[in-house]
Amino acid sequence: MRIPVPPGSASDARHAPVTWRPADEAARTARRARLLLLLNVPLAVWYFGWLLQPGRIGNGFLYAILITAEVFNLAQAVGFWWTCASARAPAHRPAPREPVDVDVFIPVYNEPIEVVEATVVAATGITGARAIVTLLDDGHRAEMRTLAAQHGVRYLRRRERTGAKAGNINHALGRTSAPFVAIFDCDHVPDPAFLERTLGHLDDPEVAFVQTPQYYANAGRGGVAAASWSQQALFFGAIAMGKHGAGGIFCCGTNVVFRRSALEESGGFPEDTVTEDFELSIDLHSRGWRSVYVPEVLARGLGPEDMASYVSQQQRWARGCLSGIGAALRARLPVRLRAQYLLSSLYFLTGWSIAVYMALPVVRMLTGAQPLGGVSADQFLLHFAPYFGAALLTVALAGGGVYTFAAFALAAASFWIHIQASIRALLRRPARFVVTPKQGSHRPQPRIVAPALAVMAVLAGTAIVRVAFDQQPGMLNNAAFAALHVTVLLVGVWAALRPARTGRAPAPSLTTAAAEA
Amino acid sequence: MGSVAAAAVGRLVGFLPRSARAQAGDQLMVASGQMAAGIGNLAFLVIAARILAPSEFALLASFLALFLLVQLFAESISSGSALVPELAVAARVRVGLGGLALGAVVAVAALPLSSALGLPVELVLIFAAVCPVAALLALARGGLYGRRRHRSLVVSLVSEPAVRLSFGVALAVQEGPVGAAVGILMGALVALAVSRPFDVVPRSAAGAAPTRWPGSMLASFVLLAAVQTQAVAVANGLLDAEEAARFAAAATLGGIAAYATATIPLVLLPSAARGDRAATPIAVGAAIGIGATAVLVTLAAPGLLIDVVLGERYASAAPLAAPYMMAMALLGVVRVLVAHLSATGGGATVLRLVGLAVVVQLSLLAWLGDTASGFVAATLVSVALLTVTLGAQALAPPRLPDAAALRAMLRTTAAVVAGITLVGVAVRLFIVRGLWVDEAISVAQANMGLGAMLDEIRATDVHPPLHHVVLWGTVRVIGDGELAVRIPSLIAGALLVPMLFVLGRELYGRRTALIAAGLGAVSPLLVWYSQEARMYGILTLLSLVNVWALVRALRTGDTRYWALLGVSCALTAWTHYLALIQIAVLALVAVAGLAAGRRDRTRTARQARGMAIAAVIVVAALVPLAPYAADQFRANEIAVEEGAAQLRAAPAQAGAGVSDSETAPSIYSLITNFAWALWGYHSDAVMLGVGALWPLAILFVLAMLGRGGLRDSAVPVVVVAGTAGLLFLVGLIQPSLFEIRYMIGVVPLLVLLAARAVDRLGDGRRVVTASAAAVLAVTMLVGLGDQQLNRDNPRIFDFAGPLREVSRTAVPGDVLVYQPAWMEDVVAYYAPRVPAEPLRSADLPAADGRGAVFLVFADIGPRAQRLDTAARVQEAREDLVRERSLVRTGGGAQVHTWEYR
Repeated sequence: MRIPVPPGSASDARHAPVTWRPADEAARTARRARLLLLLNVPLAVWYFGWLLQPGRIGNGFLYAILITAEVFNLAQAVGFWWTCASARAPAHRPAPREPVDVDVFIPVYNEPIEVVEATVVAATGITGARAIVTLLDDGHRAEMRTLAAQHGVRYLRRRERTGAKAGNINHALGRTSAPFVAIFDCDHVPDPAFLERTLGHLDDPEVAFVQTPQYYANAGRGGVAAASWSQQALFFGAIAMGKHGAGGIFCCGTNVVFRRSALEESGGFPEDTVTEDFELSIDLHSRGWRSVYVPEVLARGLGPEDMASYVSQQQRWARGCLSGIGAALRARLPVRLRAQYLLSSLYFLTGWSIAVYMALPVVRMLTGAQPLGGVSADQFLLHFAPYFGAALLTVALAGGGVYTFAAFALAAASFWIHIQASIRALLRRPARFVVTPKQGSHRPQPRIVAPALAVMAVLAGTAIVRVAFDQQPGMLNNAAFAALHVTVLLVGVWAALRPARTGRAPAPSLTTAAAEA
Repeated sequence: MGSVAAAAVGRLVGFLPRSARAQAGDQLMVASGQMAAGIGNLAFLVIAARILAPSEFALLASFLALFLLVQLFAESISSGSALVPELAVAARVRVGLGGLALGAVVAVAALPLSSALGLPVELVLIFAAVCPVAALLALARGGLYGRRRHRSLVVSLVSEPAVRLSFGVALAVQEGPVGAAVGILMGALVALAVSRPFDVVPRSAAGAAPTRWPGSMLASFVLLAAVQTQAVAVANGLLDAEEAARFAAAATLGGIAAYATATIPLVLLPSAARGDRAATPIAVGAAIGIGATAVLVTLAAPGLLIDVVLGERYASAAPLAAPYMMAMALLGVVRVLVAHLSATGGGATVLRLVGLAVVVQLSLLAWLGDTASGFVAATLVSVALLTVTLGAQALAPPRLPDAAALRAMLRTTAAVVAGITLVGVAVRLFIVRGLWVDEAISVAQANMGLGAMLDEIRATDVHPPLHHVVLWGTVRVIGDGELAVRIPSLIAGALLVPMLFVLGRELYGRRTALIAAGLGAVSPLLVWYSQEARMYGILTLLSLVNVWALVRALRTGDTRYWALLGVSCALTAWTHYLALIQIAVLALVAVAGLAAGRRDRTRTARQARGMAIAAVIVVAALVPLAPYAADQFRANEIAVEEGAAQLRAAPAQAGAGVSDSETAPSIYSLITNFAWALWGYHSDAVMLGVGALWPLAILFVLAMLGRGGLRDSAVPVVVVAGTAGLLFLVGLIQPSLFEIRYMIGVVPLLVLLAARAVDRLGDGRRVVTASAAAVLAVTMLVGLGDQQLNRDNPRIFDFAGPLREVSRTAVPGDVLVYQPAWMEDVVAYYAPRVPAEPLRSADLPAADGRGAVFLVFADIGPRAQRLDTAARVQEAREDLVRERSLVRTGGGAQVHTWEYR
């Protein structure tokens, strides 16, 4: 079925065909992950059984830091293996024969009108229910009102713009009445079959919401867009299907359909957080509601195209998810669901472990101190290499090859965002919505990645200076580690230093959040 | 005989299309003119050498060197005007004025230049006059090339030496070197006059002529001149006088190949610009033909050539002549490729690649430049690399519009693969080490009668006899010289390069295949075993054929491929017993492949039949081998029990200090073997450093994330991992067997996988792929240089030098004593006429009272044995010094000699 297209927007990347079909891979992903568990678990035991022996301690402080980082990563890895091994795609359930009313919300703040128009036009073409499309305009723009009138959709604006996107939706909930509510970010063009593919799951009265993937149609433009899509594809592929299998898929804020009664029971979207979708999901699950993930591309959006957009997005996610740790710990959740939420939240501490790995060779080259003592490289490799290799193989195979080096490097180069976000969360500094400038920038943005550049300078400088004076294998080994980190960081920040020179279509904002102090 | 060859050539030419025949005719005519000119110039030099005093001739030679330098750089002007003859006309005045300006500068600076160059002022002033003439001559000749006035061109080429030989000689008799130089100037002027410099060139009717000079091409040709001359230019600064003279001699000889092929790209340019598809293959063929002839002649009699051209005192340059000639022959091919690519719109890329080659050559010169051999290696490697990269560039046409273009591309592909193979052959022929113990043993065996040899191997060796039989045959045909006994391995090593292409294309496609072939051409370990008179070269080739046959058999189900697999595996088993490991892995892959396709019953049945045929062939081959192997095993056991561990089998793990052969294999030995596989053998210190860089492997693994290709690579990955893994297990029982040469069959597969990784890294971006391939190739070339030339490489044993020296100085009554006893055959090979025997603990050899004792000791074998041997040699030296005087010490890499009289 074709998505209705507004005149003049045929070249919009969001109307290009989609080839990514994670549902087809669900069974294979789970099978591979389970098979690899047979390899991963003994190899992890083999490595940690060796690493945790008292005889391995070199410098006690560094050893403690290393062990903390390694154990954290192991926990994340085990969580990943478990999640992937649970991967499952739900069987299709047909939509109700009797058409039902569904409120379709499109929150808007300051996005370009042509971006919003494509979404509005597509939303009016949704079939399988009586879709009542409402444009929730927090930007108070007359052209949005005109746009709504032009396409025959409802238009809502509120006087007090509190609570950002969550407040905007809650305001609309109070003025609409359909039993189901679908939400699309204004740059996500819904497929006509969106409700046909999702509403059937809401026949089950215990299901609060049905989530679908957040697909980046502009990944083909390369650079940040491609790398961030690769990260998304791993999440909305193997991980989200695994979370569905474990019963813990959470709402991702867009491309989702809710049961109104569930929302009302929870009191709507929480307005005191930057990740309202995440915390709403915790609340719903703690109230006994269930969630379903349909791994089909039923809406096509636009991912960040430059480093500033990506950093802004990651800062919001990291800050929000880390703040959600408390909610996940406090909520009355089954252990597996609590574990899933904690895994998702704690992922944003990964930056600390990356910082540790980058610091260790510098410390070794400058002071000679190292975490492990009395250990030959041969012994270390014998225990570490198989564990590391198998873990990486699992990412490659369970992810179906979607996770790329560029995605890994971009994540690694974002280590400082995690550190910044966790410190802010620890200090209880208020979270701020920042309207991310989503127009892909053609200019270099070195300031955005300054922390990563500084770390690269330290790593490279230390390695060059020290190797100039000492070419012993131990020094070369640490210099090689430094080179490894520098290369990964360089690949990660490259898009900020040399943005793509090709012309781009205007990229809209991913967020519809209002700026709030 | 000659008429038969002429008829054959005629018939061959008759099959060529008309345009190709015309191209071939043009190339032949101009090349003949160039040859004639070259001979004339040489004759002028020879006559000048006779009529001038040596000091005067030296002055003339210096003048000629300056003239040659100007000509080399002016060649870029020729190339420009050949491509754009219309613009060349317009540029006459500018070029003339530029030449005059240069000449004026030289004239003004004549006095200081005279002092700096050690030339009389008159010669410097004549050189100043030459500058504008040379520039205009280059421009005019370029115009002749561009307008296809080849007859006029030949007249211009030949007129120059004609004037030199007439007026020049006459003036030289009268005025000495100044007169000769005036003759050279006159020759240039006459050549300019007959080059029709004032012709008016009509603009092309189509109006498609370029409107500006092809600057990048001009710059490329200037840089090529730098590649040809910069080593010569810096030789005096970096080398000591003797080595510089050796290199100069080799460079002079090599210049013949460069000179002889100089006209080919210029004839090609206008045709290539017009899109004549036959032009480039003809030009490449001509360059290869002339270059190969020069190389073969040099290979056949380097000493004679040096003697004739330069005199006996340069005899020590003979070993360098062939490799340098190869470099210059390849430079001829490079010029053709530069011309082709520049004429077809790839000038900027070519300029970057040639610029890179200049830098690579300079870097290599700085690194290897302490010997003339290093200079030759640096030039050969950089030119070879340039040939490969330009060849790959030439092979990448943007789109193929029709079947004819596809056929053209296939022909071009074949030409490039042939070119890469030629590079591989050239690199492999650059042999800098003599025979070592194992090789000498093989040669000694091959010199026996066939039956006796087989009995000997059965009784004393540990290898199956296929390579020995091959060597036995070649020794009968071409003798047992150092190069001759390595011919089977050289041939196998050369064939490996196209075989890598074939397997690469089968698994991945043309681009990966070309990268693989290029890497295989310079892979240090593949080169090493192509240069060893042992079975590993053949083993490597057969292992690759095995994998290709299996892949084809699994993909097509064709019984012929299964049969080929069977035969190839059988030959592999007859080459080395440990190859049975690879055969077992291949069998598992075959079974897995069969199981994977089991749903198609018809196909599976066919595959099963094929597999059965292969199995029958292998088993049939193993049946007669089994009792042979059993006898060898028993003999080996008995020998060990009797303590006579001096089996003819050489000590394993020679020099493998990093991967300790006497303890169980470890991860580090795995890394060491991997580093050996891709970057060759190096000193222990280097290997420790390389091993420490293992974190970079993490980077490589990460970089492969999301790039796919696992399925395509399943067969090579399984064969590599399976073979290495099984040998690792074998190594736990017998540590010395876990060594790369015993799994040499995985090396080309690793090269192929590396090529695949490089290609995937680019992910369709050719620049990234090309850069990654170039970086990898450069690291391999660096590894190759270090492996071949660094005397600290523990695998290099210089038996040849010391033993030849002993052989040269020994007189009747002298005796040679060696230790360890394994050296028996290598001693017999290099010092066959000197009475020799191993050092025994009880008594020293009974050289008669007046005779000298040469004590030769090789630091070889397992560590404990080496210590024991060294102690024994020390005792012997103490005994000898009581009765005689130590008159000389010497030796080479890991070989020590003492002469007592």
